[in-house]
Amino acid sequence: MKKIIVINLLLISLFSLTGCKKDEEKILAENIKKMHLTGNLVTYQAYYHNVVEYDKKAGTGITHLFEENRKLFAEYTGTIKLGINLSNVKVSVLGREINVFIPKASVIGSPNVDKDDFKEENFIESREGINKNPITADDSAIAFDKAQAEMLESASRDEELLAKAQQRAKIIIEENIIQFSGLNQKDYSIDWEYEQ
Amino acid sequence: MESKIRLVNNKWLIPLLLIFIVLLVVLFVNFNKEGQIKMKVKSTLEKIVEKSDLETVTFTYNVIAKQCRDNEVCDKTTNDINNFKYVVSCKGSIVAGIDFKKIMVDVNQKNKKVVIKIPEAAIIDEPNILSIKFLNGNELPASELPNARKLCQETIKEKSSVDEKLIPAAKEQSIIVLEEFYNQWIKAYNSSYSVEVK
Repeated sequence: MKKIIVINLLLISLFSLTGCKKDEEKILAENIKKMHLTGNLVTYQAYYHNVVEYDKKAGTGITHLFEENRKLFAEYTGTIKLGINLSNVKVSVLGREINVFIPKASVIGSPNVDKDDFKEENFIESREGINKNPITADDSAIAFDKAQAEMLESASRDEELLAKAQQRAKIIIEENIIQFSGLNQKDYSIDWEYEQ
Repeated sequence: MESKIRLVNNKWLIPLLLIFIVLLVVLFVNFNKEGQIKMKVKSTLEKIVEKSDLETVTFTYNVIAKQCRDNEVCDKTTNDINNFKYVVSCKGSIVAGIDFKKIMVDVNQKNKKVVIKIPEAAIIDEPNILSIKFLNGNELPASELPNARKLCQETIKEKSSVDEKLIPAAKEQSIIVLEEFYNQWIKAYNSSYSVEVK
């Protein structure tokens, strides 16, 4: 009789434990679904101190007679933001395992280059030719556009920087999961997949 | 008569004691809450700083450096390349660091705000020169390269030390991460609080 009671008690506790585990898995799946992964997540702001090189062609027409092609150089500064698009993050829950896909980081928004760096007096130049071929406002604008494009390209191709931005995004998303899970961190595992 | 006074005293003593105890408990709970948040922020901070590699940041630092023909009579502020022995475009990088041991965490109970104050960044190490390009047209002899490299290092050092945008930028990139992280963290820890990183 005693044996039957003990076996019954053991079975009851085993079933209740299984039920508890199933409940926790359900809670985990439901809570993770509540995570709002939308918009851009900025994780890195790079600062650049750069040099732009600009070829100024000799003009055409009488007023540009004896002008020569010139090379202009200017130093400029700017910042550029990097991060990930949260809507490309994929999260799935299987039992107590959470799978997260982190997209590759990219440049967010436009580079923020300081326009003041492109004033005429900031250009380093070679003053050659009888007719000077002077720097105009157009030249400043073209050099500015070139600098922005170069900075964007440089940041977009900087794999080390992009990997750092992606890693930082992972840390922030991990914190999000810890909060939303509703469970102790020991009770689930996270499997990370990074877009290369 | 004496026993009557004692009775009156006893009558007030218990409510007064109760009020005192309640006050003590309220004060203790509040101070404890403040201390708890502070402690939690500090312990998570260590982890996030290490994981995110926030202590140092490497920035691209490219400059134009001018080599004088004669150091006695040389005006480096002029922008005509022909006035110099040579002018080079230096590709380099510098490392700025933040000492996170000096971070301050303040908890404002009244405004329900946690303020994380990051210390100012500072340039650490010598600039790293990656490549040199001569802007005068012709390449200089190989024997001049060490001098040009030295010129690049000195120019980057000089320009970065007076660059007013560099230090705030180094700090800003840490603020971005910590703000995102703690805004999420505080929601779970105590959603009635907000976090400011500065």
